[in-house]
Amino acid sequence: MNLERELKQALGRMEAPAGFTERVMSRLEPPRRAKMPPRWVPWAVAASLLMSTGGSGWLYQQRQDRARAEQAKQQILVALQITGSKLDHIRAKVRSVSAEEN
Amino acid sequence: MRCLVLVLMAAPVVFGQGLDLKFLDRLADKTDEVVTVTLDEGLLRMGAGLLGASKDASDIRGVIAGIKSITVRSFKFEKDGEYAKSDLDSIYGQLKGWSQVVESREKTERTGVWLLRPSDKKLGGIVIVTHAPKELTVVSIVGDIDMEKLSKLSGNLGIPDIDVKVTSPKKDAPAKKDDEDL
Repeated sequence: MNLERELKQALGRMEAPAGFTERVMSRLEPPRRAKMPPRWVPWAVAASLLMSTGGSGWLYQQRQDRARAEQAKQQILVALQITGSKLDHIRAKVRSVSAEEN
Repeated sequence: MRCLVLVLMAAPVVFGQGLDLKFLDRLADKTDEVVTVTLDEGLLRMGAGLLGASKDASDIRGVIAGIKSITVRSFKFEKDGEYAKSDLDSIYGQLKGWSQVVESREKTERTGVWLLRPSDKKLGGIVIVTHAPKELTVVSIVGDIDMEKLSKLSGNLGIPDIDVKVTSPKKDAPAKKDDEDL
């Protein structure tokens, strides 16, 4: 009977001493926060993307403008050649008519 | 209403558009010898920027400095009758307000020169139209044209020697230089 009473006493519910929970919690390591990249990283990525896209666009535009200018130059020369040849033709006519009249 | 019509007709010249020759582009399908030039002020400046630094280039830049537009359509056909009389009518119809200063007529070829003169001292444009059975060429240049500078281009870049003197012709009074009509 003594053994039974001793076992009941030993296995019985006991109240934790005061401040036990706080002491346990204080010894636990604080939870680790997930490591986030610095705030400037997304901005830097966005800026580099923007710069590369903008740079490519600018280069493409430059090439297009250059091609258009080259084409325009050729057209100017052709137009002046045709204009010159037609005026020359007319001048020759005028001269021949003037010579006939004289 | 008449005033409005006149204003609308003058508008292309006022805004430096020159003649509208796009309707001739369909003729390009009928020949391989085609020259199509359509240059507005912006393209003229862009093209002038690439002309280089030589004396010839400088002269050309001087000629085109005041020009607002250049339009050229030139077709050489293998057979007669590839363009219609209505094409010519459409060209001549746009020349109201221009003064014809030269008209040269040969058996089958006709060449005319028209000038746009906003004032006696100023030349605002030149149009040259040549048509023969197998050829149609129209040149339209609008803007301040310095004929002296244009003349100085003689021999440069294959441009033949030209010696054009601007006179003061009576408006719409063509000076016929050849007696043979079509």
